[in-house]
Amino acid sequence: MLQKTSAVFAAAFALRLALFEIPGLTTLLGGRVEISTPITSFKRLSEGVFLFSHGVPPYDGGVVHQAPLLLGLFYPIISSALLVKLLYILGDIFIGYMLQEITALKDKDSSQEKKIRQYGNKPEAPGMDGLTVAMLYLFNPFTIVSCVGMSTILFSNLATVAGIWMGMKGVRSLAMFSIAAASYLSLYPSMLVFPVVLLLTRGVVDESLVKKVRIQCAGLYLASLASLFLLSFVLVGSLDFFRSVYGTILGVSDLTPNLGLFWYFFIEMFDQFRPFFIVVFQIHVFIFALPISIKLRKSPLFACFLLSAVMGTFKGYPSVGDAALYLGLLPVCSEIFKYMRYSFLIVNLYMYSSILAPIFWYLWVYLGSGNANFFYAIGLVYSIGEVILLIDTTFAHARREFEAQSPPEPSGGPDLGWDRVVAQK
Amino acid sequence: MGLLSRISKAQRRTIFGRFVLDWMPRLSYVMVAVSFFWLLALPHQNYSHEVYLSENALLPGGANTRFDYSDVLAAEAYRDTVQRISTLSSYERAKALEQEFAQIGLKAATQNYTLNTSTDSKHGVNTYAVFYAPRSDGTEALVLSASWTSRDVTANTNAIAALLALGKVFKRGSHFSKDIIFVVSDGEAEGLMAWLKAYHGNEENTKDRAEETLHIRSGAIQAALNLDFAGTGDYNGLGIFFEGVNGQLPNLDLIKTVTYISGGLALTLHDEIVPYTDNMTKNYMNSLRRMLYMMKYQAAGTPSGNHGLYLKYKIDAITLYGFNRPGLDANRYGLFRLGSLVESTVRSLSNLLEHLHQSFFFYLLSGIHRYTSIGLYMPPVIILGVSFIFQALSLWGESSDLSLEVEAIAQGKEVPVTLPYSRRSRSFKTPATIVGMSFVAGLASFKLVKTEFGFPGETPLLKLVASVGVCTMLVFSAVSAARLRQHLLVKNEAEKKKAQVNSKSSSGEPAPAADWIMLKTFILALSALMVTTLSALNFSMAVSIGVVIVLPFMIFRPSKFLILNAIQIVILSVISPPGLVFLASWLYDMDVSLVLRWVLDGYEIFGTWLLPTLCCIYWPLNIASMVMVLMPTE
Repeated sequence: MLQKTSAVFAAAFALRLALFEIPGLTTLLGGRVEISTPITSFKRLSEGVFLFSHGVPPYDGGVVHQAPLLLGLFYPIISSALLVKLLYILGDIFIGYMLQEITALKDKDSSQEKKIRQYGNKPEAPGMDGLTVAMLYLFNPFTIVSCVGMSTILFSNLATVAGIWMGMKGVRSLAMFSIAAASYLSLYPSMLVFPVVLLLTRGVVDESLVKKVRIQCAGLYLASLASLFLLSFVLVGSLDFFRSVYGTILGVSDLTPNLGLFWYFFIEMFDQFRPFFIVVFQIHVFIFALPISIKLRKSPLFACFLLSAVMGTFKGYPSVGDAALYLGLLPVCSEIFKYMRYSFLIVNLYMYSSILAPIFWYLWVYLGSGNANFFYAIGLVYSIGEVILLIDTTFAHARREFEAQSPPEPSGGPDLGWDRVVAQK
Repeated sequence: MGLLSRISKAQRRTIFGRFVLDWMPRLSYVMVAVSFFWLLALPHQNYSHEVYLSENALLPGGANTRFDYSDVLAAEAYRDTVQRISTLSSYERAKALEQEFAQIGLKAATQNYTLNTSTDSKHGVNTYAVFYAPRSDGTEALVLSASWTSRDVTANTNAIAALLALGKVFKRGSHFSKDIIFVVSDGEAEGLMAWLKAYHGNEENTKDRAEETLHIRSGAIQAALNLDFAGTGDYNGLGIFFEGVNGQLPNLDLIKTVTYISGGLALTLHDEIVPYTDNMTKNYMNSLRRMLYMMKYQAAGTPSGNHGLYLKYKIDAITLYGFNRPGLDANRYGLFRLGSLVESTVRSLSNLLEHLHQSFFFYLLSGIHRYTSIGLYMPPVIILGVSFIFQALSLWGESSDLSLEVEAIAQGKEVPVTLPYSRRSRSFKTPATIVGMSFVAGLASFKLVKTEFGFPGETPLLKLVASVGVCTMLVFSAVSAARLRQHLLVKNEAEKKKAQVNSKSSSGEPAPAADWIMLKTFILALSALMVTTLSALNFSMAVSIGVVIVLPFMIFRPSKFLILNAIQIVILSVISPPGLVFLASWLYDMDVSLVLRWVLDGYEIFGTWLLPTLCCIYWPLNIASMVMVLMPTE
């Protein structure tokens, strides 16, 4: 087992290293709008680091929209291409490792639960093991191109998954710190505070203790966030970054096309309506956090997946890196797979959109025979795929819960295992 | 109430099952038929519209042309000069032309280039001259070009003479709001290619290609006309060539402008004069032939003339081609008419306020005046793609519980409540591995064919044979692995059965779906993906691939009869890329290595997608289907 694990991780490492070595590939992928957005582009980050190292305030020019501590992280190593590559590769591999650990912890949890009885009175088959989950993340094309394209969404994903991992482990301070770091890097993961707190309180029966943990977590989260902001202020010496980083994420001021739903809408919009629709669009992202956390309080891990998928679909600057995060979290909940009804459709939608997006971009930008509608249409198809995934997984989860509550009668004939005799009661 | 709804649920389930399992495949064949008929109907008069001018700024034919009889005399004098220097070496004739342009008063220069393909080495010198329009700010330009070699493979004498004479005419006028660049390119296409690359600042200096930097420049090129008037005589036909690299097309307004200006000079599409008749069938056949001619160029991706290279740089361009066909009045188009036509077109294009954008970029022409728009020709390809998907969905249903369930309902066993999931296990690993391996093999053969290894006696044909070897080996190994797997599975099953008989307990698990069903689902879904996405890039290529593969990929399945399997394999190998190469060489009565070289040249000189598409996308699916046909049936 250990051998297999190390082989998988070594293969993932080697593949990324080899792809980094292909000349021009990093620049090509890094320039794709589907992979790097204004808030995750490595090119803009390097610009920021350059300005920072030359004593120019990096957030003045309206180019850099990445968090100050990210500049601080890259400042000492950006001159060495190898170190930067290693940072990306190891970051990606660490996410894979954490997903494996999360799955292992979840298996341990579910082994104590009552097994769902299935037709023919058989126990439910176990879900995917941790290694498969890690493999599905590490060899997902979206993950690979996002890593090789050096999108800084990787660090936000890293912090998010670390938060979930620590939540599973029950380490309050680290879990809250990680989620705070993820929120600090790209704001939206702040939604995950609720399911991660649920993760921390799972299995706790005592109401007062739960309350205590919740208050403690809220305090920890706010303290970590405040300390991160303070550290950033010390680093860059001004509070300009608030406007440049979070102002851009929330205000969507850079309308470079991407796979999301915002840019096309706001290019067309008259200025007087802009603030209103910005608020509507952003509320639409955040509004899911509480209802999902309340409804799925029994399965916070699934809530984490669902919320990251909501983030990746409805945020202002989505990229395939966001898809990599939720598609990595999805196999953790692999027990719902067989209840899904539209998997064929979803896989096809993802394939069509990921092939047609570059083609339509080419028709629009290079040949001039297409136009912006082409690319936006594919963005819509991609979003439809994501939404159907959200709906289908939610349905599958609910269906499984129903199965658990009302297990089938084991009276089906031996060769008619799929029958459930309906008795008139 | 509860019971009633449950019973009707069983009925509904049966109807759904029957639809998915029986009717969807049939429906998909109907859709294929619809698609084929739709495609055949496209050239018909009722499905095309009259070409109209969309961009009003063009004002075609609105200008009084200045090209008069004295200019014809000048052109004739230039014709003699060009004829004299055309026999010189590349460098000398380029220098001589440069001098001619300079004498008119234009800024002229030359450009050296070298291009090494895997089969050939090409070197040449281009000449170019810029007329700086007196009223322009130099940010926009039009190009008039002619290559030394015409598409008839003779010297392009008249065209170059016309360029020189037009330079003289333009120099007299002050009407132009765009600079005009004259380019006389060496070689067939590689010269203009090198010039365009250098003009856009992409010149390279590597082992394979070297392009000299341009010393004279003007603004962004808005449109271009390429002239192809071979020889020194007059012509009785004038044709327009417009298909660009990888099936790109110029804006329809450009074609309409030229036809509008030509007015009385009956222009035709390509190099054939099609008389209009009252006979509907004859008209339809003529239109069909014209459309097929166009689609052939589009599908192959090779441009039908040098204008095709401009399209790569977002510059709309066409070629005007003068030709002589027996049976028509001779001497219809001399230098006078051609010169006026080109001058008027340039004057019209000079009126443009912005890049041509008003009219269509996606169209099919069935005649110079009739076009079929994208809204009409796209549906048949989409229908073709959907028919693939329907087949795949039906197989997907077959590999689930659905078939067993429908059977159970039909036998009236019990009133079943459908399970929320499929109990049959589907194996994704085997088909995914086979498809993945086929794509690797396709990519490997692409690399193999295009790389120059440098060992003695290396020919493209040899490399093709090598890649066929690679792919055949893959097919054999995959098939034997699949057979071995099935053997093991059967053995396991038998052991399980024995164990069950002993323990008297039943697992109740239905048998897993056969591997070939899953593999075929994969192939069909990927084929749909290929055909529909390609159609956005290159409609003709997508249609030709779709029409070729649709029936074989849908019908073929492993059979118990050896002879049926053999027939299927033969058909699949005929439509595989090597098979197609041999088919083409037989059809055009050309040597196989020449066909291969043509494909390779297209890839290396123009950067067409034919070779990569065939090798990396089309071939892998073909290989996977072969494996599928040879797989065990259970």
